[in-house]
Amino acid sequence: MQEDFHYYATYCAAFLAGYSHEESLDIAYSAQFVDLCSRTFLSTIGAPLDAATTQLQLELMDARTDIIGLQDITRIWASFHFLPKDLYAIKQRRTRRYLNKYRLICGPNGELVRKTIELAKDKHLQSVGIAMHVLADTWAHSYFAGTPSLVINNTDYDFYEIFESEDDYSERIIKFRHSASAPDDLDNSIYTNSLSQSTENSIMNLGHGRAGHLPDYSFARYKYVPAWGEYKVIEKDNPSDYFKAFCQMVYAMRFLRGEAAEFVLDTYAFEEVQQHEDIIKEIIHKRQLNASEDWKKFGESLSGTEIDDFDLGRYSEEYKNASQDMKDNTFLGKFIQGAIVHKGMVTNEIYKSKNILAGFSKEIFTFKEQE
Amino acid sequence: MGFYMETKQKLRKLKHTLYNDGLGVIMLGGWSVLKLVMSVIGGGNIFDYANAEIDEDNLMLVKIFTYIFLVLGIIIIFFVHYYIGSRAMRVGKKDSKKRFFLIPTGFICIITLLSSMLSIAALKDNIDDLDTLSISLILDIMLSFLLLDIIVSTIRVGRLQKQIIAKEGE
Repeated sequence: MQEDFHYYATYCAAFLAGYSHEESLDIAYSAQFVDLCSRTFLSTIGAPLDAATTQLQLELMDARTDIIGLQDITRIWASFHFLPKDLYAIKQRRTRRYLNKYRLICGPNGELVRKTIELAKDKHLQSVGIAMHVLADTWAHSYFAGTPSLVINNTDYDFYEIFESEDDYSERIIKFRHSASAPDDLDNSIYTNSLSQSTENSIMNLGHGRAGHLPDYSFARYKYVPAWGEYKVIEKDNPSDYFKAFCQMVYAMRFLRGEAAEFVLDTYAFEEVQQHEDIIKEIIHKRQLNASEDWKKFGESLSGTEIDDFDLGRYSEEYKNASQDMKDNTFLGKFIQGAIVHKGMVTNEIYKSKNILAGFSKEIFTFKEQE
Repeated sequence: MGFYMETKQKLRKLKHTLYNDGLGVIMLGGWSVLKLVMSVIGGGNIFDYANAEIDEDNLMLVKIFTYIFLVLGIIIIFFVHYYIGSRAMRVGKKDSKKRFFLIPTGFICIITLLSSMLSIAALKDNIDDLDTLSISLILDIMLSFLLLDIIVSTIRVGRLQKQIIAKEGE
């Protein structure tokens, strides 16, 4: 997902869940910040590099793809952008090596989503924002894994965009090109994707690179043949998924506010969202590269207050100027704590499933024990 | 999964295999060319192939003709492999209905298999050349397998496409 959903839509969901305007802004900022908190940024503010929640393209270009490098990449991407759905998935007649990657495939309503939400309970709003980013991405980035793998993340030329209305159904073949500077051409279904690389662990095979930005467009409906699918066609209905992601975020944040006793998977706040359903679906279905304006307008109509545009450097000075023992109390300090805790949880769960792709992990204590 | 979906899935897999087989045949065409060049130039006197009486007067002429036929041989061998491979790739990727290429495919497959058998026979008398003959044998077997797979997969693709058309017509 991109800024329109992670920032503005998350703001709207937070407000509908009962948070105030300021709280919703903090949550939305944190959710969007997950996509920008790179080691490059953290080094400019003197923050621990372990808290990185993403990697810039230039960082990825320099990344090692030996086992150590792959573990580093997987820890970040599987934790924050491609949360695995089922770490114990079974596929017959496959080697351990293949299964380790197959089990990292992202999807909504997996056990790790529940753990992610519960981990954010009674924590700072920044942790809530991180959890919302992760939850939302499980819907958008389904069927891809947060580890560089040709045999999981590759697709082929059999890629069609679906146009369906009440009276009509049609498909159009999608043409991919490798031009990072040219915007996607929605009228002709021409999209930019990563270069085809036959090396198993090439960075080009990380996440949904081979499908370009299609998973991040809320309006997109498409079908394709993923490398892991044994030639079966997967149909992705982003409008439906994005609406469920929105409603699940509202439900999750109501739980985090204490308005629900527990967080149950596959549960959505459809009733709370019902009165705004038409507007939300209109925004989601609208064919545009960036829906930020529409989401912002909707959010401002909800709260009656102007929503500040996202500014990456908004809290940098506060963090840089704080004394060492006060850094954890700053906005970014709280985000950093939340990110490290979440990454630790996901890495530990992956390691406990006897999968070393995210590296080694040792459980020192759980938060319940600490209390 | 329904019969229709399963059939489409099998069809996709076969077409993907055909595409890769075609690519493999084109690449192994290079190997066939190399084999020809090595056997003509690398092993002994090239003019043995001319099978003509060579004296000072016609030496240049024999050289020229020998090299011309060598180049022609290279072009023909590579062209045949490229033709077979590209047609297989078209069936795999673009749904081409043309099947004439199966004839040269079968022909080359038989020749390659015969060549493999000759290599095995040659192994007994040339133990010193065990390494090169073994590699040559492996590549020939690989090429034969690809060619055979192209024939079988193309026929299966045709059958599955008919089944799908029949199902869609119902």
